[in-house]
Amino acid sequence: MTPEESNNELYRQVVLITEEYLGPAAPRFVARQINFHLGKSPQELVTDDLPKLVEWSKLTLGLLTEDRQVVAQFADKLARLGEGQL
Amino acid sequence: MQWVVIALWLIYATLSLLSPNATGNHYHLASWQTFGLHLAIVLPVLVVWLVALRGALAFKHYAGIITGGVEARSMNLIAMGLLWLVAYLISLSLLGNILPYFAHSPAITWLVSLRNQVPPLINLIAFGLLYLGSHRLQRVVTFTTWTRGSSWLMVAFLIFASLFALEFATTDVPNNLNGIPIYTMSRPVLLVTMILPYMLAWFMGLLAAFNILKYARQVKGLLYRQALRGVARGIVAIVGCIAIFEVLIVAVRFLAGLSLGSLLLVMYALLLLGGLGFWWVQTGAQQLGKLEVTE
Repeated sequence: MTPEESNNELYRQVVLITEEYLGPAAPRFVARQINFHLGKSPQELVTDDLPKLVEWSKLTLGLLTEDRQVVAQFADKLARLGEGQL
Repeated sequence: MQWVVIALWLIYATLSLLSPNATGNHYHLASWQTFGLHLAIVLPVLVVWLVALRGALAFKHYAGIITGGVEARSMNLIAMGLLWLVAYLISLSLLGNILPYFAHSPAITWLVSLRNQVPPLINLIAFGLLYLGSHRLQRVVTFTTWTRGSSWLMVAFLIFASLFALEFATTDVPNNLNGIPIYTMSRPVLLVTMILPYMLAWFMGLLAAFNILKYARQVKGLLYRQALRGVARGIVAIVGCIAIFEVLIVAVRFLAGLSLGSLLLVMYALLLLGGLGFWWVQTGAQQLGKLEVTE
């Protein structure tokens, strides 16, 4: 199921933020993080999962770029989803 | 696949090094110098073939990883186009090196036709696939091929293509080069079966290069764009290198007048550009692949 087809708003927001960094690779990246580290499907993502998802996503993005600022900015945007500040 | 390419290169190298071709006589070289000259060509060619294969396979591998993704079909078509370009490079070298062995055989007529007409068709397929793939990228990002800059470049290309066709149709060429016929068909037939496919291929290659550059500039994703930049740069270099190479092949009479040093310089420059292009594609595809597998 693509993020557009999903009725999970949080998942869609996570993908939207990730797209700023990973473009078309974002839905696959997010699905991998959720499946692999949270052990659930993207459809089942809830706000309580966010801290763990942010940590793992931050760590994984850190493997893809050496630009710490980009990684911090990405993690910050994801974390703010949980605070309802987006 | 790598072993198939190495086996084909061994055939190509043997054909080239043992060639009864009169290249050496043309430049008044001793037989050992002719051997050295052939060696100075076949070795870089092997490097370029291997780099090209690795680049095309790396991109095909990436296209395989993203199966099901919104850009997967486009990337797969581009990967197929790159693989056809590898086939093009190999067929061109092999067909060209078989000819001297049949210089005095009746088979030379159809072998020359094969050499003249098969590579343009393979190239047309390759650039056609690149274009189709690049065009489908518009489903991922909205961009238009026809901006003012690309339109002016196309006008310049059409003027060049018309002059090129006119020159080909009207200029006398020597019957043969080093004892091998250059063409065995009439000029109008060659215009349709050789020049037209080349021009269509260049046209589509140019459009593919525009589309891929525009996609790489406009697609979302900071890290994705960085990885894609190498692929885009590589494809532009490959398209440019092959188009220049083909112009030189068709205008072989101009090359015949060059000194040996200048000829080698042109050849090395093109091999370097093509090799660099495929290497950029490979490193870009590896970076893109990394985005897909890191957990």
